[in-house]
Amino acid sequence: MEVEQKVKETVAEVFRRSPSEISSSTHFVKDLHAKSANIIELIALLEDAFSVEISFAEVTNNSTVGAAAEFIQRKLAQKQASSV
Amino acid sequence: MSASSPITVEEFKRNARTSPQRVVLPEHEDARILRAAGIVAREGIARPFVIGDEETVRSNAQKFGADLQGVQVVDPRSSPKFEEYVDFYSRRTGSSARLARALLKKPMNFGYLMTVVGDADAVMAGAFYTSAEVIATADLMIGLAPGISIPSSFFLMVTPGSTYGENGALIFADASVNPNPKPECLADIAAASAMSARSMLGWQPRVAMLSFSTKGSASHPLVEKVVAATRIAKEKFPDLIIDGELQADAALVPEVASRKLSEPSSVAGKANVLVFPDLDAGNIAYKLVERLAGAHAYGPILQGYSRPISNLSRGATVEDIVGTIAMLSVQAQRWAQKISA
Repeated sequence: MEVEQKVKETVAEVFRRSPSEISSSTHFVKDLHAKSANIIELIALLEDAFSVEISFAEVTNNSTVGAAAEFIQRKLAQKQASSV
Repeated sequence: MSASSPITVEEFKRNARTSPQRVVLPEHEDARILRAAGIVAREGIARPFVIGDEETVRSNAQKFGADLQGVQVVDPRSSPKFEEYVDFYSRRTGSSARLARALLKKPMNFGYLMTVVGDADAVMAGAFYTSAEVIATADLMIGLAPGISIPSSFFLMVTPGSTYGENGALIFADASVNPNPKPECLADIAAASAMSARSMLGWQPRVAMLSFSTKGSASHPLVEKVVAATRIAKEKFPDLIIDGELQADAALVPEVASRKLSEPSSVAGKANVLVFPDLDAGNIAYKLVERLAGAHAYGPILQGYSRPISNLSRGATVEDIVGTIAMLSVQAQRWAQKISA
């Protein structure tokens, strides 16, 4: 839940919305009218927040905030697994 | 065409050497980029800036056998300009300093912004990162030129033995970015292509808006799109020498133009910039001319942005990259002259 909350707050910051407007089902394109330039900002903030590396293609595969949060969780799990 | 208007890679290199420009290369992960950086520095074609952690860049250079003598390595995280850039970006976009710092720690973003603040003259990427990422970063960090709503690209087509265009050299646009631009966007592509012709090649652009119709010879929604684009371009860019809709032969061949057009045209029969109605037409055309007529196709070269920027093909060789840096450097020379004029 903490990951999802942080992702929502990051999305809110990039798209200049209140965090209360962002839910797991918020669609990047349909609801937030995301352009590719927004994705560059989102990647930078997510990488900074979670200390993971994210490619442009990886992010664009996630159409909702919830999907993005799950993606980050997988990234964190991979990072933890590779550090063991 | 003047003697100073380059159309071969060697001519571009010669022109670039007269005033080497500061070209940012943010992809230190790629061996070709590091090798090309060393070559352009050694040959005086440009003043390359490779962006990245200095230790990693030097280690990569050693691993790839790249000589970085004369190449400046800029590490965003330790750059004395970092906070200045953070402040610049925050004020320009209204974003938080936190977001700006997160963005500008990354070489691509920092490198692109260098051209906006005036610490570099041009930027080139696309060897390591995808075109989508190159264009997205350009949209965010650099932005489009005034009056231009959409990025596009062009090929410089040089056909040996041809007299069309500028002694066989023509600009074909847009052959790689926009699948089916609306009339308003097509008008902006025309204007951007004219700017490219002027800034990179020193031409007086004569822009033909291509179609399968010449001045109403055919009637179809596809023709109407080009007619509308031509009208919009003429209204929005009144100094542009542009005409349409024109078939390709009417655009290029004086005898065909005089036969098909009932009124004088400053473009028909003497076009040097060909604007295709969609990506199908543009992409097919440049490949056919390249293969069937033996033309050299330089590009695709991004256009429409407020600074000179190039998007490399992922399959580019070191030689291609050096040539592209030379072309970008020449474009940046004229850009600098225009800004200081």
